[in-house]
Amino acid sequence: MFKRLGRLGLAALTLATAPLLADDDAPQARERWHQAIDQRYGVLVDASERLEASADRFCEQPDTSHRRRLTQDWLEAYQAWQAVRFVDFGPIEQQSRAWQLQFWPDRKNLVGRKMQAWLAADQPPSAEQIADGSVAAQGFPALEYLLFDDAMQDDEALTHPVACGLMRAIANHLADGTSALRRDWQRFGDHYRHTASYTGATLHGALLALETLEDKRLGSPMGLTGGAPNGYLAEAWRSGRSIRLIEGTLHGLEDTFLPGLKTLLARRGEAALADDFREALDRTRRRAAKMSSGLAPALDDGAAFSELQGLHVQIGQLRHQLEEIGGTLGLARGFNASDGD
Amino acid sequence: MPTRFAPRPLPCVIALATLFPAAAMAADGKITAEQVVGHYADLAHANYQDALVAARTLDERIDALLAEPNDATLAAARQAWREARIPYQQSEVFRFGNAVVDDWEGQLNAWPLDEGMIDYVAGDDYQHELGNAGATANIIANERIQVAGESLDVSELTPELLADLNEIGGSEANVATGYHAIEFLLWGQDLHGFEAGNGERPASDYMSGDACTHGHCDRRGAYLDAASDLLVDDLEWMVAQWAPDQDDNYRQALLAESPEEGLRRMLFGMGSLSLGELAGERMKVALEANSVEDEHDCFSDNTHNSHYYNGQGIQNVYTGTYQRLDGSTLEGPALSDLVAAEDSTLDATLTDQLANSMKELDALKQAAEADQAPMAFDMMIAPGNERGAELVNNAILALVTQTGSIEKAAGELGVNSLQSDDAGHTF
Repeated sequence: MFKRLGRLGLAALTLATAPLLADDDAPQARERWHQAIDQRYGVLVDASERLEASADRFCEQPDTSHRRRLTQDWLEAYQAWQAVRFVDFGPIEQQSRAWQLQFWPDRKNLVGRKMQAWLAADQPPSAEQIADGSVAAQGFPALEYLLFDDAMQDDEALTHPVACGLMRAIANHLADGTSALRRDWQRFGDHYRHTASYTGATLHGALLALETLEDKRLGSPMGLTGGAPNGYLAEAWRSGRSIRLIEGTLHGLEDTFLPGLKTLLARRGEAALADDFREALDRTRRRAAKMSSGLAPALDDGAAFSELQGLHVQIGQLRHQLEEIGGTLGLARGFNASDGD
Repeated sequence: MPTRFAPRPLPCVIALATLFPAAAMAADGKITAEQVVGHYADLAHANYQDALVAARTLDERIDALLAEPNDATLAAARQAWREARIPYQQSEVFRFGNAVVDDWEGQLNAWPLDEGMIDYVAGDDYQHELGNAGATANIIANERIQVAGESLDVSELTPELLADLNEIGGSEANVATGYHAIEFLLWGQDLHGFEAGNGERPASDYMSGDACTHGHCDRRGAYLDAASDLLVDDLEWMVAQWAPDQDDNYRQALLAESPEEGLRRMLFGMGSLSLGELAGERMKVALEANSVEDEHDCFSDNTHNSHYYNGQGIQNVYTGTYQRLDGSTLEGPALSDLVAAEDSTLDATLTDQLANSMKELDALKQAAEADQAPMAFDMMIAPGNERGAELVNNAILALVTQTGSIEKAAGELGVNSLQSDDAGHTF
């Protein structure tokens, strides 16, 4: 039975936009959300541009300090994406942009195989070629392969012209993509602010982000959804940064999703619900921040696994709280693109 | 279009079909939700009966192949497999809304699989699930296998053993049974990537003595035989679950629920298959990632038909219509009638959208089955194939669009909670 929950859970618990909030009393909430998300997309653009510049600098002068900076910039940009990943409507839906940034889950190592194919070529690809190719070779996991995979651990591996050119092309495409994403988000503003159903869509996005955290990003690699524990099912297993990404998502929900939610609930006289959710979110984020960065190593370490379990439970509680809030606001449940098995 | 099965006598089906005119109308002439749910159970029953008939034919052809392995018997078994997919893929619309199906179907249609658990694979072109300890177990070549520190006796390849081996070691990719395991045993790996061509397993993989290729032909035959027997057993069980004249089966449980609950299960099944499963998992991932590993029927390259008949199943449930393998048509009180009574424009829209999805899925099918330069699904998803991408994208878009209307229809019918059934289950 537990397995069935794993497979149907996402389908079961998602919210639709159909009959909710019949009277649109939420334009203020959407105004706040639009601004907060715009700022967050701005942070992603800046971080992606720093990453692109950092890749260029490293390739021109591949020394230890540039390498360290490159790794740091990759992680910061990746976290900036996590913070706004709950937004699954609007311009992010165009051209599979979310997958362009992060193709995941990747059970069969498509990222690795696509990268190996590019690395075997005589010449590095252009950013256009990357854009026209597989989403698995376009985003943060593709860069992670170049920075962290076992096959790239030789000092010379990344400084090779094909590898460096490949990295620059991916970083270039990523910076272009995030910049276009933010521009489109700003253009989308009027429509978002004036369309009542986006209130539900925004709540739905946040709820789905928590469900994904609980079931897929934590539960599945931990072996809590029916299968055996398997560190390869975690995000960012190559770099051992899985928990840092989860922290990024919690951080983004706190400073990007929460303000609009507070506005919405305050207008319904339910401000206390928002306060409770904020407290729980803050507690969970601080817990994640204190944990070590990798998920896979914790699978074989009793104490560390207990920490993971604690985080998993807290995220489950957050999800439950947000479901209750959704119920209070009269949301209906429907389909979404990530159900199926 | 694959040839249909020869008509077979199915007396109870005719009885079912003739029930409709008498029972369809309530006293005031209006079709009721109860009638619609009842007819839905009839559709499911007929659909699983056809799946069973086709699986029995497949089983007979497999017996013939094993008795006399040659190109002709192999081709006949492959054709029977393709035909068996026609009813089964239509039945997938019953899966998501009905726990009895969803809990059962993994043994029949789990996918994608790490086929190296079952038989030999090409060393340099086999990508299994990362961290899957059973991915290279090769049950056919070994009477004892080691998975995740466990040593297992697999000397006798019975249906029960294969069922127990499913998801061994805790990985969903360890699929020992069902249509795709049989597909792999009939076709073998497709080593053509994005190019034309599918699996090329030779009939000699089932020959004995010196003629046997790739070793262990007897065990390979025993495996295929057991997997095929299990498929028939499983489908018999599901037919019984939907049979009208039995106590204590799923049909009785479903009809004992409120009609609204029945409608919810119907709509949930349609929407989940349409959007998340078919448009998402089975098409969009494969296309956007250019991933042949995410092709549904990757050994046989029958993916276009799997998608087409999935779409057909969704349309069947809405229109209350099912064309049986014997060519007859089952019709009855439909969701469409209920929606039309509430909002005739929405009914017309959704009816058109379902037809449009079938048109787009048919375009995939036509391209894949063209006489000149056929383009199979694994070619459509190749990097830079603009026409292929357009075909797949059009089908995805049509499915996404119709799902929006399915949600609206649910709203019209007072079904506001499109979630899976977990009533009565403890997790």
